[in-house]
Amino acid sequence: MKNLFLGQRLFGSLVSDSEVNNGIKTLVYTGSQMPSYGRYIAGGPNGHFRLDVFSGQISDSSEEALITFQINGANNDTSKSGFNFKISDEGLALTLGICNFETAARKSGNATWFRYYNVRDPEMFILGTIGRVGSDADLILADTQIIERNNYKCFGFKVLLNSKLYVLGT
Amino acid sequence: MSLVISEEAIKTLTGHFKILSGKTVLLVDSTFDFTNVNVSISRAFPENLKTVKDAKCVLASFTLPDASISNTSIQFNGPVIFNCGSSGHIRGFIVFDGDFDQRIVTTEATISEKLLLASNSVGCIGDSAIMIFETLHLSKNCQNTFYSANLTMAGV
Repeated sequence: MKNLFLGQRLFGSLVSDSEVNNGIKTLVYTGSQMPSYGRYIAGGPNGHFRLDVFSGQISDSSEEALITFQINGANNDTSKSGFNFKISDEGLALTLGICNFETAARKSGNATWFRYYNVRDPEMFILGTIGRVGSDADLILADTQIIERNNYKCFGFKVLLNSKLYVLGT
Repeated sequence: MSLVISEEAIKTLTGHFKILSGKTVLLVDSTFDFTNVNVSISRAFPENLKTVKDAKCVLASFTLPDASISNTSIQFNGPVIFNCGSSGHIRGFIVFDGDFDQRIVTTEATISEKLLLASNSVGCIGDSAIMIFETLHLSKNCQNTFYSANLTMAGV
């Protein structure tokens, strides 16, 4: 088995408070200014990222979301930050889509999947499943039975850019 | 259920690997264990080692050329002709952010902290491997050629 190992230095340079780091666009932007171009997976000004909660099957349909969480950028106060990250021997562990502020549901329904996206560049998105505590879903909600006008928080979902990868075809 | 990450997000990640351009590549023999890179790095490059290229496992080194990006792939194209410091069989490579003739431990960081990439996926033309060479068998003071390196990040 062939493998590929990505070092901490590589992961560390993916995260920066500059839009461009060593001539390369930053993947996780910890700055608070409005970036000139929105090609990031997390960060930027508050609300630059959103997380829409939907019912039904995962799709690219444009049906109205049950809830739209406004995701904050980076904040030294972790209770106000819209994401967090940890770089270790295991890789770059990101928790994205955190919204600790109560957000009112737009309509009622059974939450089953989410779309996390960059408002200025909607092609930068991540889709995942929603479930309750104990499920193997990507995003856990306290209650998946969403009721219109009730308030909800979003504790985010985890993405691990693993330092150990297997090389296909060898 | 695995997350679905958009192609644009993967492309952004791929583009970031341009940072590897111009960095130092060390070619190592079988004494370097790629199943546990963190432990191997510490063993292969102890603090009392004078320079990176003095490590017993290091057969040769060269500088990675500029990268070109195509969708979710990043390509480094040679040829780069380099001298072989020792005789042996190339079992893998290490890319790090530093010079090969410098001390490993500086006031800034150790090699493990400067490590960018490591893999045992090496081969010759026609092989399916990340890094392609003229030959994997090296003779001391002879020359070898690096042809290309290709990383496809779609599976990340």
